[in-house]
Amino acid sequence: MKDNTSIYSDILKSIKTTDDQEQLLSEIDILLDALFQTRLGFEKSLESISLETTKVLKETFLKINLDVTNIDEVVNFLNELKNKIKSLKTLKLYLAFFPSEDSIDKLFNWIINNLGNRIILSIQEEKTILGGAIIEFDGNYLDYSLKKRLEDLFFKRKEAIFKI
Amino acid sequence: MKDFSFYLNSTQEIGYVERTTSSIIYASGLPKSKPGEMVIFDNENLGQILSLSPNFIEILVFPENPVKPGMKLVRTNEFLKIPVGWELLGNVISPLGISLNPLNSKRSPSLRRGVNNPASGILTRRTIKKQLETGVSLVDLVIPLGYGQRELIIGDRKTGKTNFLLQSVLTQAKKNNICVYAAIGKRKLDIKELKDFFVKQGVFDQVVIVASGSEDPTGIIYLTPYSAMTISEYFRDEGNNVFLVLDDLSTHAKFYREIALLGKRFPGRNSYPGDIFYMHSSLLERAGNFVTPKGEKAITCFPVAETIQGDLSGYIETNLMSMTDGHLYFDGDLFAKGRRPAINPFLSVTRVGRQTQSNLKRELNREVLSFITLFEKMQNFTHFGAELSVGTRATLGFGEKIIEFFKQNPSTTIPINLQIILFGILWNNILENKQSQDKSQNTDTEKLAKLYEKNEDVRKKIDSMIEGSKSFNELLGIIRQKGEKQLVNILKYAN
Repeated sequence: MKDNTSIYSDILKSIKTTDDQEQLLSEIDILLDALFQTRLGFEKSLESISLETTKVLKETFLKINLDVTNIDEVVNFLNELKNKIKSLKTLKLYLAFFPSEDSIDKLFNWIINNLGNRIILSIQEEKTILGGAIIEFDGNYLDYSLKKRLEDLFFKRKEAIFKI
Repeated sequence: MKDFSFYLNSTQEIGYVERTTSSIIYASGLPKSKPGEMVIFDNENLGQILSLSPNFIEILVFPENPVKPGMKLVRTNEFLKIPVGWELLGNVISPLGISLNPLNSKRSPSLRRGVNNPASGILTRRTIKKQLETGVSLVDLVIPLGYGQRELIIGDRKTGKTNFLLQSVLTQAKKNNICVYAAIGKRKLDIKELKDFFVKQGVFDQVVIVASGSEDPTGIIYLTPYSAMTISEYFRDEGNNVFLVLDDLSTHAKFYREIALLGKRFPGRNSYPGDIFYMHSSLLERAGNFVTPKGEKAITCFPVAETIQGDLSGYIETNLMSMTDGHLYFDGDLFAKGRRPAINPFLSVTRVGRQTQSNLKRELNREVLSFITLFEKMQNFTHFGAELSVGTRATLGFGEKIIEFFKQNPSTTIPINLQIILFGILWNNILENKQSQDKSQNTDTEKLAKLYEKNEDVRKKIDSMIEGSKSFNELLGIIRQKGEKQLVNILKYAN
């Protein structure tokens, strides 16, 4: 097996949101359990996870020439993959609506192009912000919501508003 | 202090609680946080940043409500501050400055002051020149203390340390000085008893009790002496002499050890962290005699340390001894013998107290110390069962009287001038017919103390006798001439 961090990049690129992250992690856990418990071999164990993940994993193994008959090697690969997935940074986005898949893809592509490919999205619907977005990343908090703008506006023009 | 959302919008930084271990939590986020900075949680709890690491921020929490993983927190860009002001007088407050009396009608002060201020520099300090009265004869005459002195009160539990502290607070409060009492990790009942004592004595308006209970979060208990010192500094800067009691620093050290061990600091001697000396010395260094814009003002500090079976060589005890200007040792054996206060004058030290004494007091101090040393030696000698000469028997008899003279009720305080006159009368053997075991002696002293406080004539007479004597021998001469008559008159007044 090649010892190269780029070998995981294809798999990591397929993770766009924290939901994807959790799903992939749980599938890897299922796969690891299946490998340990049954000792049925890799091909048989793959049946216990989704077809999409199976496809990505198989492609990666082929690419890096991993010997799938060697269970220890497969387990090492999967554990390392789990660590890589857990180390992905999260950009939290609070929106007044839940975006469509297309919108999420667009947002994710923008992030990959501008901030790098080790970041995933955590999108939460927060109707009280009315519009705009609140962004949280690396401990930074940026409130670009409509609610905040309106509050600032009311505060600035408090006296004028009270006169009405 | 503003709320969570205010700081979130102003700092534009957020963190999340990742892990909690009792009073210490680990959080992620907050990229620009600083050690010592305050943080506020989304349930409005407060915390203080202890240290920073690449992945986590270590925070000491002061929670009213539990802090759980996943909670949000923001930094405040402020160091820990507590409200300070005259409104605190006559109040029992938590180390965060919140009144512990739900019926308290006083408003919380609007002024806030940093808790972890560095100690004032050498240029602002002055020599300790003025004697501090504790109202306890044994201390005022034998082991004198000065304004601005840091005197360790050390002894086993139940040896009368608290009673002595209360007497000192009472005396200082009667002199219109501000008293701050830090009750560190005490039982609620003890805190209530403290308050009740001050209320009963009518001095609570001069006292602030900064209290943390044993059931309070460790962070709150740890903070108690620092808050009390901050409050003392405020009153000093307002132009008052402040008397501060830290009861007790052994307990404080134990709670700090708990925090340090939870924070995975490397344990040192007795598992205390390496910076325990620094934690206490940086605190005690803030006391002293200072020159302020409002004149020379002092923070006199009495830290308390509890020993186990009279062992003075413990780690915290020796640390505290080295950072104070002396110590008063409360001896368990003397307490068992019925001495009140059970202070052992031979094992007690005052490093700067004697320089505050007048010539008269210094001479008296020398006489009494050398006599009780002689008495102690003779007492040891009599243990061999040797036949005693008349002179030795007289010395022993007189020694008993001196020891009896220094016995004092826990609630009685005696003004120093009255102590000197009474001691002069005893030294002159004017009361030679009075039995040393006479139970009415304490009652008489109490009556005299009250008379001295209330009757201006008596006070003036006694004070003029002291002021008119340049030396102890001169005073003895005056007492011999007219003291007996005056004493009879004074006793008449008292009765």
